[in-house]
Amino acid sequence: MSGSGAVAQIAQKLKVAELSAKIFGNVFNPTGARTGNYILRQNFRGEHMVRYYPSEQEINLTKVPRLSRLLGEKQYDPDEIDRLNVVDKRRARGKGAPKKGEGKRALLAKKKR
Amino acid sequence: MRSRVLRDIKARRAVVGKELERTIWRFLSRNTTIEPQIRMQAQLALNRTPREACPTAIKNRCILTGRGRGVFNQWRMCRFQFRMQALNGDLPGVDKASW
Repeated sequence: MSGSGAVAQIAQKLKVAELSAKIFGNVFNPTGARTGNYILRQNFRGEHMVRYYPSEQEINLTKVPRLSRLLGEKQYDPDEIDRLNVVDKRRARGKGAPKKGEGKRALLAKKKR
Repeated sequence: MRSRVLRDIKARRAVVGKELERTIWRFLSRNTTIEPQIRMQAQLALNRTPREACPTAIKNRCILTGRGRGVFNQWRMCRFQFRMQALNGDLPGVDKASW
């Protein structure tokens, strides 16, 4: 008779659990069935995902304002300085780029006329 | 690499548009207490939604170059751009380690 007594005890406990769930507004799910409630609990994160890539304005806002930039001074650019040096050297040797209207194409066009 | 970024932006917009719908289908398909037929239909509907509307199809890319690998999530840029910007002093609070 001890077996049936144990079953009765479990049934009583279940009933108590069901009632307490009803009173306190909890979910009574003794079998642990999957209800998919975890999906409803998740936050919507699409709006956050859309804002990943910033607009041009936002990129400019993140840049650090510098005194030299605000005053309109030219920034130190080693590559540009190197390029200008090379151009000066070429020009000194007479190998620089021709002026406007003195290039190969421009002279050909003049001959045609 | 710009086209990849545009594709990613498109996918992000698709995610926002389909988010509610996908949540409903997911809830219905994962809920074992409702009828199997409804669950099956929900699963099929979930399969029918475009792949790009799935949040896992989204890739965080470098906002400056569009590189897909080696991207710091906190700075949203790839490791090269991060290094260059940090050395240039454009990232507030970032300093080269020295001890």
